[in-house]
Amino acid sequence: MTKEELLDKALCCNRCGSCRGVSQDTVPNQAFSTQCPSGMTLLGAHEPAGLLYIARGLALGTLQWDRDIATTLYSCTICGYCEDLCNRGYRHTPAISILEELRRITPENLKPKSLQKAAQSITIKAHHKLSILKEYGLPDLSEGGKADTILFVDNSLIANEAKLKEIGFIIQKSGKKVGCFCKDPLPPVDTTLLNGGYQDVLEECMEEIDARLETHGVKRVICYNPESLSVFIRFSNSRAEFISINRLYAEMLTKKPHKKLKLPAVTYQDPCHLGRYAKEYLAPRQVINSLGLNLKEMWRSGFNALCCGAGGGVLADNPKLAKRYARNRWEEARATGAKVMVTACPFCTINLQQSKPKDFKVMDITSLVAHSYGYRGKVVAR
Amino acid sequence: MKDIITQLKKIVGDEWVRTDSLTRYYYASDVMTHFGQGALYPENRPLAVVYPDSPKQVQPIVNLARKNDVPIYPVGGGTVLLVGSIPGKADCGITLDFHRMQRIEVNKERMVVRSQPGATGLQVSQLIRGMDLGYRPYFGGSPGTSLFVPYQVFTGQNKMAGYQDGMGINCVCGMEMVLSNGEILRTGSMVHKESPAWSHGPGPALTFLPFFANGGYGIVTEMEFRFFPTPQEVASLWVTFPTLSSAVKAMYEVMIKEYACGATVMGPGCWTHALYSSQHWQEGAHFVKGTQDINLIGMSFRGSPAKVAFERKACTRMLKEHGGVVMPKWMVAILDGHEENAAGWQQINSPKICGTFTGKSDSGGIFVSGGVFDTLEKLAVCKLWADLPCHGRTLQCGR
Repeated sequence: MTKEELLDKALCCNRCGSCRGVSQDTVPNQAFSTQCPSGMTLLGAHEPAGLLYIARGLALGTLQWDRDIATTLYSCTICGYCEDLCNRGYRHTPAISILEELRRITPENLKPKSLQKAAQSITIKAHHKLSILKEYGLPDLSEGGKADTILFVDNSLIANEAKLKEIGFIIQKSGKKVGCFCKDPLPPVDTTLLNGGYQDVLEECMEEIDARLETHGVKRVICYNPESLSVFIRFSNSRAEFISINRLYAEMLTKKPHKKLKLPAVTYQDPCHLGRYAKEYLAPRQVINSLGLNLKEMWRSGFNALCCGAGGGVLADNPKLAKRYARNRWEEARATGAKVMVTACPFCTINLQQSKPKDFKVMDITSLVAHSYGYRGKVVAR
Repeated sequence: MKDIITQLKKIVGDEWVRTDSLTRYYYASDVMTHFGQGALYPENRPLAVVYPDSPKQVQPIVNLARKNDVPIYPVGGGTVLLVGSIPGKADCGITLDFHRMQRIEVNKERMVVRSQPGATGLQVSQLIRGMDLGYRPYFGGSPGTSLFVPYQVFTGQNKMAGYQDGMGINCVCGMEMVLSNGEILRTGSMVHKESPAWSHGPGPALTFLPFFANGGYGIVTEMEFRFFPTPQEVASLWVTFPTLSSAVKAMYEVMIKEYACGATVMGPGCWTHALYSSQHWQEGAHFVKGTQDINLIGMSFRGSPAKVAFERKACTRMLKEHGGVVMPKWMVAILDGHEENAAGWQQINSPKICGTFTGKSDSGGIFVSGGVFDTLEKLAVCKLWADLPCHGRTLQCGR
């Protein structure tokens, strides 16, 4: 993106304030409430318009990169709500592409070290535990196995033995033929590369993934991590269909007998990359319903859900800040009267877990499904 | 200045005094400091931005500024700063952002709502709407701005409600202000906790005074607004015309016959607020901003169901005689939000028609993106969008 293009996009924002929050226009019978995690917590230039003014200032040359600007930029969770609200109403400011471009052009010495390190790990395929999946009968496409549907394994899953077992168990129970690239995994992409400003590396990874999906005739890719689903939807040129693993669960629960779970009332945290980016609001709710759980929605739910604060690399770069953001969400969760927070994203789970009130439990939807089918392994948070 | 910053931090806490380059830039610029062809107004950065959380914190800040001869620039809602809140010269003064002061209290007995400057019009009106009192305050102006912004209070214009509830200033009944000498002044209804919603007393009738002083007296930290009955019925009417001239003639006839309560005339390069009311002493019309090139009149009606039906029918007939064509319902759906305006709730700024569906802004950052719907054919394209079950409320990030 040239400076002129960046300026052109940044000037779409006239600071009307719509991005600040949900209003009665969009949520009937609810008063206005601020929505941007960094804006509502830190105010001022941390609000969406402030972040967009970085683009404006840099493009005009009236602002020069420094540590403060980078800190402000990386305090954004890129939850996408500002763009969504802007698009719903007054104008259309392409906030997400502006924020991602700003991260791309951030000088390397100002980028958070943790994000740089995390981005490098995407291209390293060592220490994975994917052979576990073979124990559950998943054919390995990299060793000649055949399947037109595969499970995509991202970085949160690749070495997570316990979660791989849960997923392997569920897929086995589903009776569906789902394969995986076990011996030679696909690049385990999620939004890490975007968060660190390495979109070019993401595009290279995506080319490799697309080519391998094509070679092996893969028609459907099931994603456990919503962040992976989100980048596939946005950046893949493959003909394959990318779906959330929650769709598999939802379909399976309607067809395969399972036991109902006995838990106190639950509430559900919509992961931003599953809901806002991938538009998957329904499947997780169908799963919760099929499990026999009493779902009590927080008032900002579905397409108005408030980010837990983990996204955009904030959890990796500044866990204390992510925890502070999460407090906003916990206030709403407590107001529902629920005692269990269910989520479908490994990063939401970590962040909500580290900030949860004492009387609350945070549970991953995959663990719940596994247990409803009699999985006896230890429950893992992520 | 270092000493001042240190003392400011003592008053509000370290986190709420900011001197970083981005914050100073953010509070130095707005839509007027870059306007396509060039700056209309210079970007003047404050030396620091401070976020007080109570009138008690504002008082020592004002005292500190006075003793050190440092100007103060207050920001309420913080949306579209529009020059007034930008320092008068470069690297000068303290900007006070009131975002931590958003308390809103509704007093049903006294029929007032008390608000702090950080609360926006939308927050206040929607809170009251949720209470279903049968009464509501009336605010003109944009939904995202603070109610304390002079243009909200001064002009207080809401194009669809006209002046039926008066200008914004007619709705203020009391205020609390930290004067420049550090004293706190309470006027009108805020003098006593049981005062009626009466701007002329029992306190000193000084409520209107600060509005004519451009902030010269001090900083308003709380304000009370009186209530008006919620209209029983509200309706709108949208009519297109072959020429701007025929639209203006039609509007003139409606105005002299005193129908409806407020209207908008849009034509090539103009957007006229025909602010008038058949029930109020104030009438006027002025050109506000350049926008769509459709010749269009939008007007609203409110009152009893019979009155609304009668007026709407009469206006339809009158406008048709001037060549007007009533817009089909699906087009009016695109313009939704205006009946909310007519009802006197915070205006929604015709979100659909003002949106830039192409994702491009050729307006250089000005208020409304011009030329998006410069023909009815282009507007018709939006029918597809209007027909979507989600009504366009989706994020277009799947690119």
